[in-house]
Parts: sequence; structure tokens; C-alpha cells
Amino acid sequence: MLLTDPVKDFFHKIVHQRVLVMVALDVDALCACKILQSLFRCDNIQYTLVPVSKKSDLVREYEEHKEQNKHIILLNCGANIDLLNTLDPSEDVTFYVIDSHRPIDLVNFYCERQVYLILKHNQQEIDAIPDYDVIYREYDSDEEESEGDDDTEQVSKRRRFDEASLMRKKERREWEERRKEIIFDYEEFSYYGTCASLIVYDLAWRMSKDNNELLWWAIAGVTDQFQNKRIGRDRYVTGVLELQGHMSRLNHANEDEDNSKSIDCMRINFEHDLDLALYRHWSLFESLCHSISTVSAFKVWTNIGMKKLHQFLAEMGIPLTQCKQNYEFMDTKMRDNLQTLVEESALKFGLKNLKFQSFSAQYGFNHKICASDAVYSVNALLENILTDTNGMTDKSNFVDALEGLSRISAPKMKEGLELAKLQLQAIRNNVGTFIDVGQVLSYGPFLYTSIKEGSPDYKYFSHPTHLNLFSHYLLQSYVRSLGKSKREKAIHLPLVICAPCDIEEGISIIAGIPPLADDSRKNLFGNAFIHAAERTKSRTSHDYFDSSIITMKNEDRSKFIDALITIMT
Amino acid sequence: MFGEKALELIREFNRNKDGNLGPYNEDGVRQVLEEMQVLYEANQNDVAQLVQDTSDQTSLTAVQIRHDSLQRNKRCILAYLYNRLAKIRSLRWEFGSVLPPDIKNNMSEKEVQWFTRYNRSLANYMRSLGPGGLDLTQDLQPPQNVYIEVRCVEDRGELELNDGSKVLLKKNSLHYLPRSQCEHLIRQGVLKHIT
Repeated sequence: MLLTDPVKDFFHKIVHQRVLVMVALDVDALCACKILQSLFRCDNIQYTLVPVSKKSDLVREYEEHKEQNKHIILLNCGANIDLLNTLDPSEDVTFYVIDSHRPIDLVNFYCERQVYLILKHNQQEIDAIPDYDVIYREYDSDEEESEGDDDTEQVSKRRRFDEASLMRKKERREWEERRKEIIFDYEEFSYYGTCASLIVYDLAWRMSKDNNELLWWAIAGVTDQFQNKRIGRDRYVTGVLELQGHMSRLNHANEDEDNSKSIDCMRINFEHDLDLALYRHWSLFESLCHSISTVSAFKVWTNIGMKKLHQFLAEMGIPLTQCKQNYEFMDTKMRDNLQTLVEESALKFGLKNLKFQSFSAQYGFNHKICASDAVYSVNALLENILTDTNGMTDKSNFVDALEGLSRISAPKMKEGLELAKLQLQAIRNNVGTFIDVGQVLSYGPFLYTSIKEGSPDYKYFSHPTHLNLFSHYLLQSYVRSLGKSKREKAIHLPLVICAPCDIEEGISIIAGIPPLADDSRKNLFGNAFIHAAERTKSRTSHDYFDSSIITMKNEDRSKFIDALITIMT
Repeated sequence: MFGEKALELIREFNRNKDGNLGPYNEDGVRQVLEEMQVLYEANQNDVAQLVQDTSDQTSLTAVQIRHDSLQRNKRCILAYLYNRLAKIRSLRWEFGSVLPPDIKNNMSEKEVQWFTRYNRSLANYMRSLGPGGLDLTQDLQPPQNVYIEVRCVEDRGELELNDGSKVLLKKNSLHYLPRSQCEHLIRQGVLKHIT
């Protein structure tokens, strides 16, 4: 059921209760979790935080914790799963779901009591959900032929039943056909709605408990959705505009000279930032070599590409020594003019969308970080392979990532930035090799590529978020590297990527991303994978909350891909 | 050499300083006191002789040496006794007013008496703070909040709180609990306080 007033129906109900919060493992969920934590602390609500990475985790943790908690909050998990069926809760348990995954499972939406969804009032989304009458109707009793039904009129006239019941059966069949069609259309594409951290920030604002810290976490959540290409540019700009409103309200004291806030408060600034990865924490040259737009535009894995990149730098007028210097030690004049220089030269070299609207936070004189860097850092901490003992992500990554988010001056944040650099380097190296060797194959309705078990960086790609990031880099670079005619076609093709997940068990992880041209980021692979798996009876597990990512046994891979090709043509 | 037995006492205490209290070395202390007695009597004789016969100054240095040894022995014994008492005092804050029997066996009688008197003083002081008294030994640091956030370092099973509700302590789960009820787990190292 959809909650209309989250303050009254959700927060006031849990004020004197213990709460269990189940947090999915992505930056948006972590940000929402931090905002919730501070709200809980204000009201002394006792809580327990549990990280869940997959649906099986959700079920397991629920089984273990169910006696102790009657109110359970799910962050970025559970909207697209039939919660009542999967978890089978007892009568007095209530679920509050704050999730950006769509489409929302219809049972969750229409359930009266136990499952409550907290969404932003987006009329488009609610209109997209099929009407109640289309999905459910009063079912007549099964023995229609022999017994009377709900209709009280025809109790006595049994002779007429044959004709009337045939009509009813036909009508019912038609209704079921229509229902199946509508549900199929509804669940065909999976996409992302408003991010969870924005929803929770909204809740905090309605209770007048918002402040700069919470706003920063909301910003990080929205940036995470955009950076991992879960939402298109339009939706991102809408989110940014809303956040900008809050930001100017909370930070306006800076403009008044007499009453400006001390330098030791955290301040958030709005800026038009360059879309270069980690450029403030790296050298300009490295950053240009590792950002998605420049990697694909300049084809930095080729010699010609590198020459072009050097030309670009020369065009901007920044000497090579300065470019290779750490950003902090670059000449101040160049740093100040960097944005304008890059913008001018970018057009000449065919770089588009190099600037985007973003925020940065500052605390004291030392600590300044921009939103996208914070997201890179926390993502890297979450999927940190250096702490992997047996190939599966240790849950302590969750705690590390939470710590990294806690303050912008946290030392974990710096650690995360270093890890992010390593991961970006792995991505860049592999993108180059893949395109050189021609490992991206066109299978008709989609492009396909796979990461071999022997490759040195395969561990970075066994986790969903990084696998997705890599596939986006790869798709963009591949499309740019094609000739003009092929490019026209390729821009509408989605990409399927396969990587080794667990070498001992022989399991690989398969992910699909929507084509470049599609700004709505609607992903049809969720359903496609399920159908392909059913057809070939492959041993797959659709365990991740994002339905376009699955794991399966290596042996079934080839027949699965063949089935996928047939389904999608 | 003079003063060696006293040094032995100190060494023994030093060896045990990180663990709990070692047994009270009754013999050692008695031997040192005997040595002191011998030195003192020898000195008494020599000084009497010096006062009598002011021309013969040869035993002056001997007197000096014995005097210094006496002082050294005294200092060593005092250090030994004082440090033991300091250790016993810290045990009170760690274990509470009833000590485990094996530690009690290691204390001498006088030390036991001292301990009871210390207990009484501490209890009187704590009773005098505020209405109904304040138990200072409960918290490791002055508490800032009623509730604190803790992270569970290892699997511990269920923890039952005062109001009857249970918390499942799993590795790497985070909880927000009343301070008083997780303080002892923090001390044991099962939970870690997150600031």
C-alpha cells in the first residue's frame, strides 16, 4: 500500500518501537540509511542495521531477526519482490519499503496492511501501475457448473446455468488474457525510480529535522544513480534542481558578510563540474585517461588516441608537466581556468556532455570533496576486493563504507579514493584490451562480451556495480570505435556481459545494460533472462535485487545465450 | 651484595605487572627486613665506636655504605608495597567490590584490610554524589548519550534487554541500544562503540 503521509503513517508509528533496517549494498541505500540513522537518533528509536546483498540474504536475515523486530524497513530492496510470499511474515509484522527499483510488485502495491511503500508522489509512476480491477476481481467459486455463485438472483433457476456459465467462463478467459497482457507490459522493463535517499531526506524535511549533513547524503544518493547510469540525464537534472532548492535554503548564510558561518561548519556549494573521474584527487592527465567520456572519445588505448589526447592538452594550453602533476600541486592559475579551457577545447575534439551540474562539500580549509568523488570512493569501499577472503564480499565492507560516508573528513574516504583509482585503472586497461582484441561480438539483437577467467583483473568485475560500470565504459568505447554506418545501428543495441564470479564453484555473473541511445534507461533483460533460463533449464539464480544481473553455472552459459538470442529477435 | 634481595622483589613485581596480582612475597620482604636489621645493628656499633674514638675515622665509609643500603632497601620495599596497593585499587574498578578468590589468595592480610577500607571509602563517596548515589564504576568514560551505536565484532547470539526485547548479535551488524545494557559487552570486546 502506498503511504500518503509518511510522517504520520510511518515515522510516528515507529517512534516507540524497535526497528530492523535492512540495507541493500549500494551507495544510495547507504545514504538513505545514514539519514534514517540520524532521524532515529533524534527520537531515540532503537534500531538494528543489517546489510543484505541479495534476495537470499534478505530471506535469511529475516528468518533470524523476525522474533525480535516487528517493524522492518527495507532500503533499496524489496519493492520488486513479492514480500508476503517470499518472507511469509506473521500477522503483526509490518514492512516499510523505501526502494528505487521499479516496477513495483503488484502484490506489494495492492496489499492492504502489512507492506507499506513510501514513494515520492510522482503521478506518472502511479499511473503506470495497472488498475485494481484489471488485476483482481472477486473470484466466483470454482464449481460454477454445479453450484450457485455470488449472484443471488439465479439461485433457483438452475436450468439456465449452462448457457450463463459458459458466457461467464468465456468472459473470465478473456479477462485473464487481458490481465496477462497488461501485467507483461507492466513488468517488461525494469528501471529505477526516485532514489531512496531523496525520499528519506524529504521525510526529514517534512519533520523539519533536515540539515546540511543529511542534504549531503541525499546529494550523494542522487549522484550515485546518475553516475552508475541508472537514470538518464533528465531525471538527474530534476533531482539536482530539487536539491539545489534545499541547498540554498540551508547555506544562504554565506552570502551575508556580517553573519557568515564559521569555516568549521560544513558548507555545500552548487557548481557546474567537469565529468572527469576523480580529477581533484589525481593528476589531470590520469583523470582524462580514466573518465568514460574521454576514454571513448580519444580511444586512449591506441597510440593515435594518446597523441590526440596530447593534442587536446596542448590545445588547452596546459604544459604536460602540469597535467601530470597531482591536481593539488598544479599551478593555481591553471586550476582556476581549467573548466573554461576544457569546455572550449572539448567541442573541437567532439567531446560532449563534459560538464554536469553537481555539488561539492567543504569542511574547514582542508577538506573539500565533490559529490561524484564521494560516490566513487564509497562504491570502491563497498566492493573492495582486497578484503575478500573467499571470494564473497565480507560484510565488514558495509561498515567501512558507512564509516567513509559519515564525515567528509573521514580517513576511510581517502582510502576509498585510492581504491577507486585502482578500480578505474582496471576498467581502463581491460576496455583497451577488449576493443583491440575484438572481444565485443554482435549477436544480432544485442552485443555480447565476456571476461576470461585468466585475466588479471577479473576480481574487480565479479561485483555488480563495477561490472555495470565496466560495461558502460565498454559500450561507449565500442560504439565510438565503429565506423559511421555501423555506429548508427550499434547505438541502439544493448550489451550483455559475462564475468567469472566464483572460480571454484564455476559460477559466472551475467549483466545486461540498455543501449546508449535510450535515456530512460529501461532495461528489458530482467524478464529476458528469466525466460531464457526457463527455456534452457539452466541453473541460474536471479538473486540480485536488480533483475538484470544474474549468476549461473559456466556450463549452461552457451545454451543460455543462444536462447537469449532467439527470445530477443 | 646489599640491596639485591630488595631488587629481586621489584623484579618479581615487574614481571607480573601486566597480569593480575602475583602472590605476596612474605619471605622476600622478611629477608630484606632482616638484612636491614643486620645493617642497622652494625651501623649502631660503628657509630657508637666513632663517637667514642674521634681519631679513628676508618669506619666512616662503611657507615656511609650501610646507611645508603638501608635507604635503598627501604625505598625498594615501599615501592613494592605501594605498587601492589595501586594494582589492588585498579582491580576494584575492574572487578567490582568482590574479588575473585584466586586474586584474594595472593593478597596479604593487611592488603585485604586495606581493600575493604578502600571499598568503604569509595562507596561512601559514590553515595554522596547526587540523590541516591552514582555508581562511578559502571561506565568506562563519562556517558554522553542514553543510547549509543555499537557494532558487533563477533557472533554472540541473543542479548536480552531490560524491557524484554531481544537483539540478535551477528557479526558486522550495527545496533542502537541503551548504553547501560551494552556497557559490559563493550568492556568484553564483543561490541565496539562507534563515535
